[in-house]
Amino acid sequence: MGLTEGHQIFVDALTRFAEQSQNARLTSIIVRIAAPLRIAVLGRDGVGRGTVEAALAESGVTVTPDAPAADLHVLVIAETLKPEDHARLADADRPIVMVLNKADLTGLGDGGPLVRAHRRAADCRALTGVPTVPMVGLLATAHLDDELMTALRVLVTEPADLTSTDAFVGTGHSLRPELRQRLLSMLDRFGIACAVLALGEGADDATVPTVLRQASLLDRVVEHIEAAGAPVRYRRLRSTITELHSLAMQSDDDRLTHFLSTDATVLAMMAAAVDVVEAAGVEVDRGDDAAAHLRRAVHWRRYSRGPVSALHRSCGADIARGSLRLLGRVR
Amino acid sequence: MTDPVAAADAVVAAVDPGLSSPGVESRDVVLVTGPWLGGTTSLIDVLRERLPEHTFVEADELGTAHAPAAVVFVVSAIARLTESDCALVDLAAINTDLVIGVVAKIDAHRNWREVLAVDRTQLAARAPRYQHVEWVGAAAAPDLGEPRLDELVGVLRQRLADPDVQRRNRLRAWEVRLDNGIDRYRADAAGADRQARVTTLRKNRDDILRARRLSKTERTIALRSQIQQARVQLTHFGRNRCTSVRAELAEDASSMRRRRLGEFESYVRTRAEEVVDEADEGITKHLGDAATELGLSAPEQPPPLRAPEFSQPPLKSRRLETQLTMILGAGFGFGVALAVTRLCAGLAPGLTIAGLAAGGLVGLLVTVWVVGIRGLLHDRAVLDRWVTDVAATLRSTVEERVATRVLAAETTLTSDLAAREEAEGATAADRVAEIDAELREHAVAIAKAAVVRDRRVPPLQQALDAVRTELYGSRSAKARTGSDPALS
Repeated sequence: MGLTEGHQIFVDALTRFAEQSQNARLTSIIVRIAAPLRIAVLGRDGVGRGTVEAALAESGVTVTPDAPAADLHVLVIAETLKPEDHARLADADRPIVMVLNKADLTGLGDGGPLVRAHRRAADCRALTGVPTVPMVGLLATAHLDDELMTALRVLVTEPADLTSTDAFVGTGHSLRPELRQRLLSMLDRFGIACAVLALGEGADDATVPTVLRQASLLDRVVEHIEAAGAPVRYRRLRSTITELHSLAMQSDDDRLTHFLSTDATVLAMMAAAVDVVEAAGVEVDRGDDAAAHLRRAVHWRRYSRGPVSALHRSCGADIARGSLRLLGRVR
Repeated sequence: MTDPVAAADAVVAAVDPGLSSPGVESRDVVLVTGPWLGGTTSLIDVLRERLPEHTFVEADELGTAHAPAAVVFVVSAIARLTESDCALVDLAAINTDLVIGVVAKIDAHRNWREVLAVDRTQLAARAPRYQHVEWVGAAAAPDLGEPRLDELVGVLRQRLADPDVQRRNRLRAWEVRLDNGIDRYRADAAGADRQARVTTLRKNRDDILRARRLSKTERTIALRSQIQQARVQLTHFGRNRCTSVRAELAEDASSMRRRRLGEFESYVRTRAEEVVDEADEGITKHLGDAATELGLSAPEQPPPLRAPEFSQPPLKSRRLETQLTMILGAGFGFGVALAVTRLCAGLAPGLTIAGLAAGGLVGLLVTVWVVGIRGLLHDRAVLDRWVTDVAATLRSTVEERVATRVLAAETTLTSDLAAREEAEGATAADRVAEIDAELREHAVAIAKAAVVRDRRVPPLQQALDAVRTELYGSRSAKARTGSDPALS
């Protein structure tokens, strides 16, 4: 089981069921539940909001400019949390993920810019309680043409002055200053250093974008967004199932009622619930034998009756129910 | 050369000699400040090293009444100025004219020149006084290479050496103080800080009056309804009680034996008294409850009721009827005696004498029995009528009692209620009068403040205009009088 899987299993199962039963009323429900989560990117001017938005869109996240209609918000900050950012966090009425952009400019000491950026992101998270993740937006959207690749190869053999941005463009070098300026605006010093390092270690032209993408930490940002979206997906799944139950009652559809109580549905709900509790940092036992299923069912039953939020209470009940189904199957 | 501070004070004193000092203490220090992580700390360290002849301080080392000679405002080159940064400049440069903007960390940010240009435009748009702020880039603690501070150091040296800076700083302090003074007078005259209190008072006043009206109506309605209910319920209760007692006594009368005839009358009287007492208790309780519900004290218990008067049952006066019964009984007895005698003579002619005696005896017995039974039945019928009369009397007594007591209670409760209304009305009137007094006080205070404003603001405004003319030149001072940055 992994993130978004429970949701996907259910959508697939429901689609198959709809094809078999030829029930036209299911189509709109499927369209609604299968729709991806819409993300709105917020942030002050000049923190790289547009870059982060483009990078997320490129990596397959559905980005919308309409913040009130979005399922999830991404707040881009740079260097520090300003009072304006605090105000936005206080106003947030849906799940929010904070992206500490320009992580490459955090400074070189103490293990390099990314280590410092991770530490600062952790501080921001401790301060606000909002999941915060560093990112180098510039590298996530970088596209290197042949001219730039050639320039980078020249830099491997003939190092340029990287002490400051002005020095990189201003000091004498065999590369034309305009080309150096282009390189700088495309990759900045950190990106140039990463690319040159990779090329120096023997990487080919095709690998450099991968290296840059890794350095941009985009994948972690996407992971965090997926995790923050788990409760939204779970709630969607729950409301869809309620809707299907009422549809089955109204149309007296025994097959739909049966579909809603099949192992596939119950396990999909369990998988979606596991996503939610794991995104909140609670561990779920992944054992696949009878003892593990029983243990899990007992544990989550108790959890759902403990002092937890309504969402987690419901998730705990779903995990316990799914575990009992798995236990029944094993026996 | 004259003292630049005295020269600045003279500008104001020329308009209003009463204004002697802007209330700030000029200190020969440079304030280095900026938002968190903007690069203030490293910049101040390097500046202390490079310019040992000047003292550099951070914001927490300076009191609110201190005016530094210059303010160095440091922001990071990572992003443009935000509203909160601008608010910080306003606060830091409140008593100082000389502000130098620094975009820090220019070693790391490739687009620091654009950020600097945006920052300059943004701050200039905020207020006219920032239009001539100098902005420089600096890198105080670069990760690689040497610090780049030459431009900032040059600007600081040049500006701090300018003799006009002190005068302008003093004039700026004056401008802020005069502006604040004018604002305060205007706010006092507009009653801005009193507005909330006045609104609350008005609302309270309305609430009190409305509550009075409402409670008066509600109480009157409640009293009327309670009294009506009491009348209906108590009358109903009394009638029921009388009916049930009548049925009970009628049953007793119909099964009356001759022996108990004497006791019956006293028994009926006791029962009637009991019923009257019960009804009286019921009335007291019901009226007490009603009074409690209205929040009034229970009406007084009247003196116990005199027992109703009943006539005696007319059992004695029946001479004619007794005579009639005697004659009829004797006739019937004679008939029976004749029949028995004839029967005996017919059956046994030898026993004619004995038959005659037996016939006489039987006739006599039958006569006695018939007369006795007829007497008892008559008594029962008489008692039954009497019981009905008693019940009717009892009922009218109880009803009269209910009507009298409810009427008395209504009178008492209404007067109690009126007394209470009176007391509450007086309390509310006192409260409304208090509120009115306070409202009048506020109105008077606001009017006084308006008078003070009319007296104090024109000289202050003149002094402010003079200060602004000194600071911005004569043309723009006129435009700024309206303190609207868009005009300048």
